[in-house]
Amino acid sequence: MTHPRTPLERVRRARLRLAAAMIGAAALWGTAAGALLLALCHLAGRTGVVGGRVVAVAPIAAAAVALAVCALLLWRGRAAWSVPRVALWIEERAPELRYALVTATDPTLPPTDADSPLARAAGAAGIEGIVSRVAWRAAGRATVGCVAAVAAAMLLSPAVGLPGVGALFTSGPAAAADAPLANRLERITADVVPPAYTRLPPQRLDDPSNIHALIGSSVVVHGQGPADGVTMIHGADTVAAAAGDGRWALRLTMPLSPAALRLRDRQYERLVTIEPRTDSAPTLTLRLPSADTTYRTPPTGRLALEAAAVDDIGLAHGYFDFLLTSGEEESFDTKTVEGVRVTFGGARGATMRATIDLDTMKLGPGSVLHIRAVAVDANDVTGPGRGFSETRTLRVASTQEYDTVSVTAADPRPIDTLYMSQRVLNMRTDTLVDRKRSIETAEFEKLSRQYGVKQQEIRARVDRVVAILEDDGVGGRSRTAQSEMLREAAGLMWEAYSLLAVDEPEEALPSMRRALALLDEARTAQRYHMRGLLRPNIVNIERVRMQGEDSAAATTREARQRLFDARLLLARRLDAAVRLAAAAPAAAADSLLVLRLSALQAARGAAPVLQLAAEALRAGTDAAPHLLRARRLLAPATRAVTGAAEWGGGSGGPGGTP
Amino acid sequence: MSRFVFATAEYASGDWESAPLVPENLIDSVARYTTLDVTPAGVNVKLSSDDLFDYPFVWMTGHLPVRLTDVERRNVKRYVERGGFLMVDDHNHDVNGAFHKTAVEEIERTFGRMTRLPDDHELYSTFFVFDDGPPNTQHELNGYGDDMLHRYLDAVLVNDRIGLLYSNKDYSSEWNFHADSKRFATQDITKFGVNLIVYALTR
Repeated sequence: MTHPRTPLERVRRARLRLAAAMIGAAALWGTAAGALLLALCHLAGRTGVVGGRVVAVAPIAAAAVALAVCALLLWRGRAAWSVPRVALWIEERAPELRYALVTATDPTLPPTDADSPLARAAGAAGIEGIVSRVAWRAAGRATVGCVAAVAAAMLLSPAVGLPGVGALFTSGPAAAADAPLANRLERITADVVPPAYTRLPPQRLDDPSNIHALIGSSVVVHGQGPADGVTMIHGADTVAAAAGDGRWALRLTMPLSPAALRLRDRQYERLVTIEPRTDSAPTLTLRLPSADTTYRTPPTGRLALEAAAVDDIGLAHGYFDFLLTSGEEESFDTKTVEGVRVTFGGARGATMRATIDLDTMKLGPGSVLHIRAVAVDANDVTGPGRGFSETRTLRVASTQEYDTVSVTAADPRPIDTLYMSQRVLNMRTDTLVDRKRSIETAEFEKLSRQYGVKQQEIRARVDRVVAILEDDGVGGRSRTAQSEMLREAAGLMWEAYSLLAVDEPEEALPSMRRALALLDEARTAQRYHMRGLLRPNIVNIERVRMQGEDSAAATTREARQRLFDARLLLARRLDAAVRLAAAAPAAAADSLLVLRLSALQAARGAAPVLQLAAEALRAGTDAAPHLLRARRLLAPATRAVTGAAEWGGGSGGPGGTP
Repeated sequence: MSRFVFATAEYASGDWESAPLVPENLIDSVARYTTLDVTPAGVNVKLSSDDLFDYPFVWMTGHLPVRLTDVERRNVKRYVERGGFLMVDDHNHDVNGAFHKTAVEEIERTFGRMTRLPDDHELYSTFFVFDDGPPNTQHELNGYGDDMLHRYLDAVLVNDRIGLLYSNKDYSSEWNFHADSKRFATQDITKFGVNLIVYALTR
C-alpha cells in the first residue's frame, strides 16, 4: 500500500475511513433497533398482549425508531468530520507520537513537508492500522447486532415466521411454565350478518356483553390469539373455536330464544348474552271501505278498496281477502276469495288499491261480505309473517229484517250524544249571533260565555271518548283514525271556546261547524250492529230449584297455587347480585346479564338497565344508579288481595243488556 | 252474596243470537242441580264493551264466519288473561265450516295454538262426571253437518286454568230448546253445561 506523502494527507484519508465506518455502523444499529421493536411487537401480538391493530402499525414504528437511532449515532460521531479531532483521536491511541501528528496537521501552522523531521516523527505510528482496526470492529459489532435483531423479527412475524416458533408462545405446559398466555377473552368482537332476506348490512360489535340480532342471523365471535383451548358453552352444547389469521372464532346462528353464552379460555371465563329480535308481522290499516254498511237492497256498481301496509324489515306481497256468506241460519254458503296479489319488492311501507265489481259478487238478501287486507313479509327464517287489517262488513238486509218490529233500540252511544250536543250548541250560537243587534250587550256577553263553558264541557267529553278509543288494553295508547278525528274536533272546540269566552260567537262559529262535521264523520266510522236483540226468557228459579234427578259426583277441588308477580323473583335475584358486587364484581356482572335474559319476558323495561349495570361493574365505574333504577323497575306492580272479586252483581247484571 | 248471571256474547260479524234458548236452559239446569244463586234471565254483552269484565262466564256461538274487530280482540284477550271463561261453540258442528275456520283463526291469532283437553281433565268432573270426556251431541250422532264425532275440546289455558274453551260439537243446537221440555227427556243433556258454569265459578 502507498502511504500519503504528508501527515495532513494521511489524517484526511483516515478521516474518510472513520466517517464511512461511522455511517455504516449507525445505519446497521438503526436497523437493529427497528428490527428489535418489530420483533417485540410480533411477540406481543402472538401472545395476545396487544391487538391486531398494534401489530399492523409496528413496521411503521420500527422504521421511525431505526431512523431515530441512526440519526442519533450520526450526531454522536460528528467529530469524525474534523481533521484536528481525528488527529487527536489518533494521538490518543499512539502516545509515542507525542503530538507530532497534531502539530504537523495544525491548520494555523505552515504545511509540513513529507521528508521533514516533524513528518518523519508523525509517521512513526501506524495510522492506517489503527483506523482500520477500529473501523472493522465497529462495523463488525453493528453487523452482528443487526443480523440478530432482523432474524428475531423474521422468526416472530406472522407472515414469515416459522409455525413452530409461534407454538412456543401458545398455551401448553412448557409455554405456561416459561411465558403464560394472556386472557384471550379480554377483548372480543362479534360480527353479525342478518339473514339474506332482510338485505341489511353486516354489523361489527366491539367487546359486546349482549348481542341483539334478528333470529337466524349468523354471529361470529372473534378474539386475539390461537384457537386451541377456547370454547363456547351454549345450552347443552360445547363448541370449540376455529383458528384463522392469528385469531380464534366461534360461530353460531341466532336462536329463537335468548340465552347466555359462556366463553372459556383455560381458567378464564366470560359471559355474553344473545338476545334474538323477532321479525314482526306487517301491520295494516284498511282505509276503504271506511265503515261497515248495511244495505236494504243488494248493492251494485264498483267499490274502491285501499289499505296501507307497514313492516319493520320489508314487505313481500299483499292482497285483499273476501269472505262472502249467503243464506241464513244453518243453510248458507260461504266462499273465500283472494284478490290479486300486489308485489312490494321489500318496501317497508306500501299502499294497496283495488276495485271490486259488486255485481259479480251476486249479493242477495241476507248476504254478508267481509273484506280485509292481508300483507306478507319476506321472512324465510321463521315466517313469513302475515298481517291482517281490520275487517269491514257489508251486509244486505234479509227480507224479514225490515218487516218486524222486533228491533229494540239501543242506548245512544257516547259519540252520538256528543254530536247532538254540539249540534244544539251550534244552533244556539247561530241564534245568538242573529240576535246580536236586538239584545242587550250584557245579555249577549253572558250568553256567549255560557256557551263557551258548554263548549268546554263537550270538549271534555270528547277527551274521555278519545281516551277510551286509544286505550290499547295494556297500559298504552294507540291512535286510531276515529280518535284522530275526535282530537281534531277537540282542538276546534278549544278555539271556539276561546272566542266565545271573549264574546265573539260569530268568530267561533266556523270552528264549531267544522267540529260538528268531524263528529259526524267519526260516529259513522265506528262499526255497529243492526240486528235485533234477544228477548230473554225468564226462568222460574223457585219452581225448579233442586228438582233435578241426578246428583253431583264431583271430584274434590284442589287449591291452585297463588299467582305471583315474576318480578318478585327477579328482584330477589337482583338483591343477590348486588350483595355479590362488592366482593366479586365480575361475577356480579355475569349474574346481572343472566338476570337480564329473564327480565326480557317478565319485566322488559328493566332489561336495558340491567345491562348498563353489568357493563358498569365490568368497567369498574359506579353501577349504583343503574342498580337503583333496576330495583325500582322490578318492584311488583300487583298486590295480593284475599278473597275473590264479586261477580255479576244484582239482577239483570250491572252492564249487560237484558 | 252475588248472583251468577248468564251472559251471551254479542259480536259484530256474525249471528251471535243464533241459539236464544241456551241461556234459559242452562240457567234452569244450574237451578235444578245446584244451590248457586242465579239470575233468572240471561244478559247480552258486547265483546267490545268493558261490561264483559263483569261476567265470569260468557257464552259465544254462531253459524256465520267470525271476524273480530280490533277492540273485540283486545277485550277478549284481556278478559281471558284476567280469569274470565269464554265458551265458544260452533253452531254448525262442521270441521271445516265457516264458523270453525274463522273462529279458530281468530282465537289462534289472539292467543296462539290451543291445547287439546284430555278426557281426564278436571272440567269433566267439576260437578257431574263424564268418564269419556266431552259428551257427544245428538246432532253429531245423527250425522248432521260433517257426520263426524268431534272427540275433544280445545282450550286456551292461562296458568293451567281454562280461559277459553272451544267446541265444534254444536252444544248450541243440543241445548237450544225450551227448558220445560226437559220433563219429557229420559236424560238431561244439559248437565255438561252445569260443569262448564261450575268450573268457571270455582276453578
